[in-house]
Amino acid sequence: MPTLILDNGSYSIKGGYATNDSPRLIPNAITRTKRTKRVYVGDLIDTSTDISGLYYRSPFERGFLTKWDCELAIWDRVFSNDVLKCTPTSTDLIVSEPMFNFGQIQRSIDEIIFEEYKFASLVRAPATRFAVVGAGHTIYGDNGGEPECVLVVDIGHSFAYVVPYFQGRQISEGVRRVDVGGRMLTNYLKETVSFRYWDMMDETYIMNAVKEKCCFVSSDFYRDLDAARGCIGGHNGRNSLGLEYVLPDFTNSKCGYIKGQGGEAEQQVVDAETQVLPLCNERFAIPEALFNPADVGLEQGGIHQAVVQAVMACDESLRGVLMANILLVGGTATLPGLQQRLQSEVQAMSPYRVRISTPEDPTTGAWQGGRMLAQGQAGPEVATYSPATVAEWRLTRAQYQELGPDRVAAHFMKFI
Amino acid sequence: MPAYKRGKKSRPSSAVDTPVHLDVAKEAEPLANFRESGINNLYAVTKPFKRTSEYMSTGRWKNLKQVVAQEQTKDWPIEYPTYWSIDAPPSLLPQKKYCDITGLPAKYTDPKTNVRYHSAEVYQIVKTLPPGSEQHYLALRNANIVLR
Repeated sequence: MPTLILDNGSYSIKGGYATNDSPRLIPNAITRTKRTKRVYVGDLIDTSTDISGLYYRSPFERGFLTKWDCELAIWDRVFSNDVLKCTPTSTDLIVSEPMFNFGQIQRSIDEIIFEEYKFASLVRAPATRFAVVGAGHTIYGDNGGEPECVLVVDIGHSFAYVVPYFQGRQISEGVRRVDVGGRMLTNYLKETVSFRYWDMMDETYIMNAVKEKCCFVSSDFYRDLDAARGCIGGHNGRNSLGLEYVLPDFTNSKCGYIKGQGGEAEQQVVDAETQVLPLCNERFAIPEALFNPADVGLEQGGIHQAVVQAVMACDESLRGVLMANILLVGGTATLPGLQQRLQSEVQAMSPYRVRISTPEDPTTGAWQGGRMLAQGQAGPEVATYSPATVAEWRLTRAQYQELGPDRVAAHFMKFI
Repeated sequence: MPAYKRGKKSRPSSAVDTPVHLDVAKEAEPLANFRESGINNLYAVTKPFKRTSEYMSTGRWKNLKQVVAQEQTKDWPIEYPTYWSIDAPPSLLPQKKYCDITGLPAKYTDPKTNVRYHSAEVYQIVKTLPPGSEQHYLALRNANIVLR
């Protein structure tokens, strides 16, 4: 029976079978275009060229799955023959959820999966738990299964979580959350740019593309801020920080491109008028909110402080190992320079040696872990302390009907 | 066009697997000619255009606010980590201070009005502010005095 791994993130669903090498990324939202008023579910938005002023409807509310009518429509699409070609009744499902998910929501997930879609079996755990399964590969570079002790830093779309794991169980006292994620950074960039240059308040889709293409984490914020001074409109001979982003005209380019790197689309518009968005200190001042949430009015420490606090909340004997086994995953972790900056910031506050590893593609880190779990690359054969093989972890539909929702929740609690 | 809009079905939530009126619809014979048939029960007619998915009505799902409120009523043991207690605490570093007028780093604070300012030049402006108007500047960083 095929195993489907579904990392149900609040920005994108990472879905694919255990036999696939990498998942498909499907936007986890229903979008409506402003002008033509057409509705697109999930990945169908990629077929549209009219992406100006998209209206987003997300099934997630502050990182928790609550709008089921919306999610069902997207899952219908995801499981359909156009995307994953899934026959639920003969498929084992591995699905992710947020940290400290509420009982009510967990119950809904189980109910939908078993009663609506009638999946054959289910494994439900926080995305960070799956990331741990794949961590051995990332940290040690071999297929050595789960490491004994990992600190997962998961910077997603809604929140950044820091979760310590020991022998496959999370150390709940050490979990920390910083309320900064990809969505907040996009909104912050949107506001900054709208204030300074063009009104982009409705253009979430485009600003997200701008963020992904242009933003980076500075290794020395004040040095770069100084270097960027006087670099208005992207024109500055003194440094390479300024650049110009050519906004899309929706005929030649869809999301826009960085001037000079546009490729084909750029050649077609040589003499046409283009709208240009100059970017300079926005490029690194926006992601800086991860390290200084106070900049955007949040009374929280940065992710580096959350890491140190999380480690210090754990047993003394674990601290050194946790610091040496930090795993950085999540979509926002793809920001260039984040790993190095986090390394230096945490090292400055820690008496232990700090080592931060990140998978090749941090976005799919949790998915890859789920895949390794499904393939049986984790579990007792590899690491004797590991609490579960996937066979024990899995809950079949018959078991669900036998146990009922409360005991099902208790079953999954045993493994996280 | 995907089937995005689901018709609202008032179905008993207990009978999820066997919705009553859908069974009736399945048993009924498709009517060859609508006009001649003299239909008096629309439920008994098959509707091939209508999505006969087995999803429950959406009305019973709670939004996050309701879920959070419900979970909060449970008696969680003190020191037990929950959604509310895992927030990262405030930074240990001192708060950054910026000029209320220009936004530049503020070295000074006017003791009379509590307005932060960057340099002597800016202070000239602070001095000319009419009484009371400094409260608008302070309000931007929630430091204004609110009289109740």
